[in-house]
Amino acid sequence: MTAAVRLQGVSKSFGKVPAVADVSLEVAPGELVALVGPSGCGKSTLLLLMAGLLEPDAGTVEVGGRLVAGPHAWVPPEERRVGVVFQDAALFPHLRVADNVAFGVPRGRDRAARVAELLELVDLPDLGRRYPHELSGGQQQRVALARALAPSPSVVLFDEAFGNLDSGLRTSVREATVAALHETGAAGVFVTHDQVEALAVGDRVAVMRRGRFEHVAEPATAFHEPATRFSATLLGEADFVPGTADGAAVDTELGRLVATPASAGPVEVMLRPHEVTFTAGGSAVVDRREFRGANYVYTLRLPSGSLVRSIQPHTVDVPVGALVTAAVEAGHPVRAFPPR
Amino acid sequence: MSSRAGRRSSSVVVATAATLVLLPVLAVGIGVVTAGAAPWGRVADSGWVSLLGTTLALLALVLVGATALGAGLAWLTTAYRFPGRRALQWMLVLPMAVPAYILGLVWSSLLSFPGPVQTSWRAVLGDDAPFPPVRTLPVAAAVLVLTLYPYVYLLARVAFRDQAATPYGAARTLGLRPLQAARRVVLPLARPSLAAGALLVALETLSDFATVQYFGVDTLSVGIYKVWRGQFDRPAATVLALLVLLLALLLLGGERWLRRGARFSPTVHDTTPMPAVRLTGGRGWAATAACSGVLLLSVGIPVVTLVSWSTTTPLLGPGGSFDAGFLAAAANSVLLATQVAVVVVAVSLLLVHAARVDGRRRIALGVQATVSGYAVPAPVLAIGALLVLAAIAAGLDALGLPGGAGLVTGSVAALVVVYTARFLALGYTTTEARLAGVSPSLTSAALSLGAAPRRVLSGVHLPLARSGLAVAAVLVAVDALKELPIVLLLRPFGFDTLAVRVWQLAADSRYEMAGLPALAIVAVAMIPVVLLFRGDDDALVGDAVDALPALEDADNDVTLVGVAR
Repeated sequence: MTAAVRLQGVSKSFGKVPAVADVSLEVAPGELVALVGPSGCGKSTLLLLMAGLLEPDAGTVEVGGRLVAGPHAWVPPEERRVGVVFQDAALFPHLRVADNVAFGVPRGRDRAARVAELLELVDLPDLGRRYPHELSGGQQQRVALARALAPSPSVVLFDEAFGNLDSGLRTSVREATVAALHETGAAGVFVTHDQVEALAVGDRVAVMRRGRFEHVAEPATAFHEPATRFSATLLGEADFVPGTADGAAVDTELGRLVATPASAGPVEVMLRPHEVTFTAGGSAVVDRREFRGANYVYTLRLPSGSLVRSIQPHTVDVPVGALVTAAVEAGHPVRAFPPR
Repeated sequence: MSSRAGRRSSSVVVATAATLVLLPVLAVGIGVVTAGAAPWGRVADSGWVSLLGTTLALLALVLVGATALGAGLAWLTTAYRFPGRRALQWMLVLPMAVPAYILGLVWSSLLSFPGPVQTSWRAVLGDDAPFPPVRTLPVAAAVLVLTLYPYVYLLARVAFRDQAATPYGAARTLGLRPLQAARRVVLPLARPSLAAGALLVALETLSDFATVQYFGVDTLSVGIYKVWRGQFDRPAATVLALLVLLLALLLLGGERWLRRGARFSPTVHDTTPMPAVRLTGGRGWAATAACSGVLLLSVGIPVVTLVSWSTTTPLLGPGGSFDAGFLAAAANSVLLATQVAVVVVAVSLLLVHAARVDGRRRIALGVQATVSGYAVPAPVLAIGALLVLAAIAAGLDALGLPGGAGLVTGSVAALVVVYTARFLALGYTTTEARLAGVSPSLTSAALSLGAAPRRVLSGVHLPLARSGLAVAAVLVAVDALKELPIVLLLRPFGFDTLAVRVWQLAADSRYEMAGLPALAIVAVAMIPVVLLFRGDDDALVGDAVDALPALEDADNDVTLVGVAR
């Protein structure tokens, strides 16, 4: 099957600043890929390159098997069949909702029916006569999605599309969006700086840093077996505990752990707070305790001085200064990195 | 000073500034009413209907031309890439530095019968070859368009880049070609900004009575000048001034109407870059040629001509004597411009301070009234000021005090006051825009720490506004140097500025003598344009808007000046 989008060796600089450097990515039809990274990592630039709103300095872009950007090829955005949903929705403020949705649909008898169908799809069937400024933020975002889907694009790009919504609304709009995408069969590329969103939405997650991909993988793999320390901390809370590997496992202050990849010599293993438990009595000290509603996050100081966090239900109530013994219950091999 | 006294004195400053601007306008209205029917006959003799017709025709041509040229060039330099675009996009504001009366002088000379254009025309086509008439309304309109289009250009660029980039990109991804997207999305969004730019163009056109006279075009403002300076018929001039004022109000109303949709301007700051299309081959060079052509006609040829005139008649006069007239005029210009700059900057600082320290509605209204002074056409302001001065003189006479007569025949002090009224809007908006990045909570913090308003002024607002004040001083001084209509109407007998000298020499067709003073004005006027607009794109967006007077509407949530970073 031809990829919905294929990037090969794409680079783009602004002046002397490289924004995207030698990036390759293939998005399968109907697949959702989340691009996650800190602000300024080039993820939005990559999106604009796919949409044709920027021209790459090097590399090729294909959409639906068709070469749209390359050394000797350029297809302007209006001919790419790529939908874009912008952060601020970017609805045309002078047009009604229905006219916004109809904007990319060729004139014809089916146009009104298509608009009604899409407003139904995003669950806003009665708002066609409204102006964008009369809608809430979440409604605007859903209209923007309907508008982007109207011309039946093979891929829809989301540029921090839920970033302006407050957290409760964000989840529901996000779920509605994913459902609508699945219904139309369009592929999706989501740019976000929110790791929860990236892990929840993507069939795959691409972690981006300084214009390059650090890791492209399924969410569970990216979370549990991050390719780099940067990926590890970007996707969730992580502590690094030193140990000694002997080819089979790693000896640490929290016990002997099965780690991947196998190696020998000094290493540091990545531990996430939900993987660390502790029992009363021992040589580690409770250094800090943070209340998070349903949970406490305990910071434990190990005898060597290393710090490791452990998340526990609020019923586990241990005072700061108590002596404990820490252990690991990961349920899978932990990730080992070369020491820094 | 107690805090209450500090607030009272800031109220006084605001009230004085607002009076300075509003009183002349009121005086024109009162003057027409009190004069009764007497002047109307003489106004009819002056042919006001035909003056009005000419004014409207000129306005229409200049508005259409400047809007099309300004918006077109802004679109070309924003949405397309072509050779030389980076340099051209800031150079296209340079025509602002060539006042219309200088551009008109150059072209009326170059296109005149003995001028180089007609001479070569006859050389090629024979002595009897007819040349299209030059002293006509369309040529005058073309000259005004070439010097006024930058107002529209600057505002259109800001609108295109800051408001229309993402919607334009969205329209492109939805299947529209660049020009289709421009028509269906960008133009509707930019309409309020284009209207604001067009309004500035229209008000400048309405104020002008020097340039159009080179081309034998008699507008209402020309009528005011002729009736007042030629016949000293103050009542008739007042009636004509009222007509000009009404036209200005109509234009303001029209702009408001065009901006009625401004409520939908995006509030989110747009960060997406404009997807510029590369024009290749012949089309790219055609774009370069179009921009260069406009610059050649509006700046290149005029400056070369002025330089060549200046070098053929240097400071030494015909008999080898020193050209004392030029030096005296230059001294007067510098003196006047400096005084006006100092006064305007001082009052602007006090206004900015008052608006920050005192949040009451009447203060905001007073400041707004002051800023609205930019909309009063110069001849109206001058005639109104004349009426106020005459009333003061009459009052002094009635009290048996001396000095009244000098007020009416003109004094430099009166000139400074009227210039101040004219340029306060420019000074205030520039200072305020520079201070806009400073959070109002800073003022609150100072007040809450117990500082009296005067200490807030000297300890907080003055140091923070310093760069804004410097820019305001330069802009006001340069505008005062270029100013012609007010000084022509109000100057004391024998008081020449560089601008007056240029105009008089041009009126006598002594073009080459006018070269040096005109070149001096253009050279000085180039300074702020180059300082403000040269450099990266962001400067074009930010500072450019600061430099335009009074685009800020206190009652409108869309503030064009607010767009500046």
